[in-house]
Amino acid sequence: MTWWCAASKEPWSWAFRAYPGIWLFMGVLLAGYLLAFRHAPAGSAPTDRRKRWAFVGGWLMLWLSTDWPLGTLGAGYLATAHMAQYVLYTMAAAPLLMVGIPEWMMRRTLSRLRAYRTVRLLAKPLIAGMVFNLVLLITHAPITVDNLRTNEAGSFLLDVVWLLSALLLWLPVCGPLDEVKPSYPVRGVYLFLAAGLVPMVPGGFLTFSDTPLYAVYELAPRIGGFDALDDQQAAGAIMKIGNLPLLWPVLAALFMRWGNEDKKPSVPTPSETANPPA
Amino acid sequence: MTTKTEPAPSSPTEAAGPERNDRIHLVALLVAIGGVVLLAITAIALLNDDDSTSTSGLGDDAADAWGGALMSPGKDRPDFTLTDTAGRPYSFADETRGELTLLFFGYTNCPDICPVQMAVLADALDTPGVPRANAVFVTTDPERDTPERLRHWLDQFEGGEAFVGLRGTLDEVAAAEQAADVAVSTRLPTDDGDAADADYEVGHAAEIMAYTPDDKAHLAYPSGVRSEDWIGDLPRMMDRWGSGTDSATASPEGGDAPAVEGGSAAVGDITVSDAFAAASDDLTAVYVTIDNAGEDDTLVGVSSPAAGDITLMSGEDGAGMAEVDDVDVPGGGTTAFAAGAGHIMVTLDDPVEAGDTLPLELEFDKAGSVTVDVQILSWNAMVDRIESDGSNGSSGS
Repeated sequence: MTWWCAASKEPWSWAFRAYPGIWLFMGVLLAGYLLAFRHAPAGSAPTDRRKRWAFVGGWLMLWLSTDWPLGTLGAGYLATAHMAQYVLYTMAAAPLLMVGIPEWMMRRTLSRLRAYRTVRLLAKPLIAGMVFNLVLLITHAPITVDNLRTNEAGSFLLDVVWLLSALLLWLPVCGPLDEVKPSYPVRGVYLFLAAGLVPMVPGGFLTFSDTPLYAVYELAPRIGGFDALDDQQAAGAIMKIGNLPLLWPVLAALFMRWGNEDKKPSVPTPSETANPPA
Repeated sequence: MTTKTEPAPSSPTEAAGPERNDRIHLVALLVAIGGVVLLAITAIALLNDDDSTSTSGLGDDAADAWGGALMSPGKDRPDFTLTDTAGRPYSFADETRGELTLLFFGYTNCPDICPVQMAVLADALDTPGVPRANAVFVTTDPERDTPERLRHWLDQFEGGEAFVGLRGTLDEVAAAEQAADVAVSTRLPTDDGDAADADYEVGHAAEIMAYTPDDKAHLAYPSGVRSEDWIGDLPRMMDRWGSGTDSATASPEGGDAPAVEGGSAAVGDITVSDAFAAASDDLTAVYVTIDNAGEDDTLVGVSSPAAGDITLMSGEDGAGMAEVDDVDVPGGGTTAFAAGAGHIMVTLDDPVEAGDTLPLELEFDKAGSVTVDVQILSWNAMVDRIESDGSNGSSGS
């Protein structure tokens, strides 16, 4: 029984492969989310239906990118699939999950885990950006991929670290905690640098390398005559531009909100009303 | 509206505590991240260092580490004749003698080992600076591997058009495997035990045998070898067991001068060998070794159909390197155009790239003319070659 996607020497086929560990993980995640609403704190605002759909959408993206067939392909056959997985984790699943978590749920979870202070610290844009990119660099280093993707525990660890670092990336942008969100322009610059610019560097290494960097994909049974070097170059291209479909619309939205914020007439504070300027 | 999980500080003193803790956490976190980054950089640097030493040629401490399995003594180049994909008889020994040759027994329906081994090898051979080699694939499944299917399968690999595909009867293939001293292939029973099932697999040797110009296989490459292993090993094989000939290349163009393929040629008692130069767009220095087993002779001219001006340079680098009209080639000795002591400066008509060859005709006063194919190397490969050839004999004078 294989619990989590890991590299295998078996030739690729489209025959379905079951990974009960992934189903269990996904089941617990969704059940935990839905059951939490039964114990919503009294007096908390009702959760917007769109939030729930956002979470379910993020959950589906997570499942799609973790389970067969994409998860299987990414774990042991194609660097392209590996990178597609990563982009789906970081640019689709994580932001949707973040949007879908109500504020009370996030606060309660962090409180129970005694992690609020740590998360607040990590969510500072500079730190969140550094952590996200450090995870990106380390988890895409050949030595890491070749050692972790070849066993289920390592592969599970890699997926979890990807998810956590991606959630951290989006927390200051669209998370439920207002106190960790900087202003709109800072959020835009942060997202552009952390998720747009830095990943181009390792993506460039993959694209322009003369030899396959990952043993696990170079020595994997071939799929459709797809050459290992071509596969790696395609993976590099995905790393460099795969984030664009989400990144630029989000950046545009952030700057539009910033613009709208500036257009709003400023509301005088009570103290200003009491003491009008001379 | 929100449920606060952190109790609000009740006094300024209390408020200072969490803020100070935050700062401590932040500093600790940054130090930790910095440490991880430093560790990662160090690890990457060490790995890169390993990579560079593994391809730096002989005389290096890391040079003993081969990507393949070293065999001592080496196995003789086998002598067998099969049929190529064009239907012509192909004598392995005759066709590949004295050349770097990679021999693999497999079959096109192989689900795992064969396509990976061939793809990895193809990627390596397609890399600039790697010596050219004959790649010969013998099918162990002649029943299903028709000449067309075999050709089509080989062609799908990078540069696979140059790969030789061979077929024979099962007995002939078995004899070839025995001659190469690898495991004899056998048809495996299918899962349902149906011997007539068309989806059968074939058990076969997984290693690629690497025959060097001394007609021995000193190394075998099992499944799991990576292209970077080949890229590191192939030039080193040529250095160690090259015996003066570098690789199989195209025959020189035209001319009556006798020529030997791949960086070496002979005329009379004179043998010109180890001819190489760096890839360049316009100007390149050719290094070459001339052995004269006969009487004293003189190199009086050099020309090439692919070059304009060609000048003989002799003397010490930076002090006295000068153009000369001719170079003495003493009988019973070796004259080397070696780094720092002399070279043949060639003005190219067209750019040359690593893996190309440049035909160069050397004219001797007594022995006559000889054309040698100068092997074009990448700059790094040339530097490695010069370093490994550092103990060359006398220079051109």
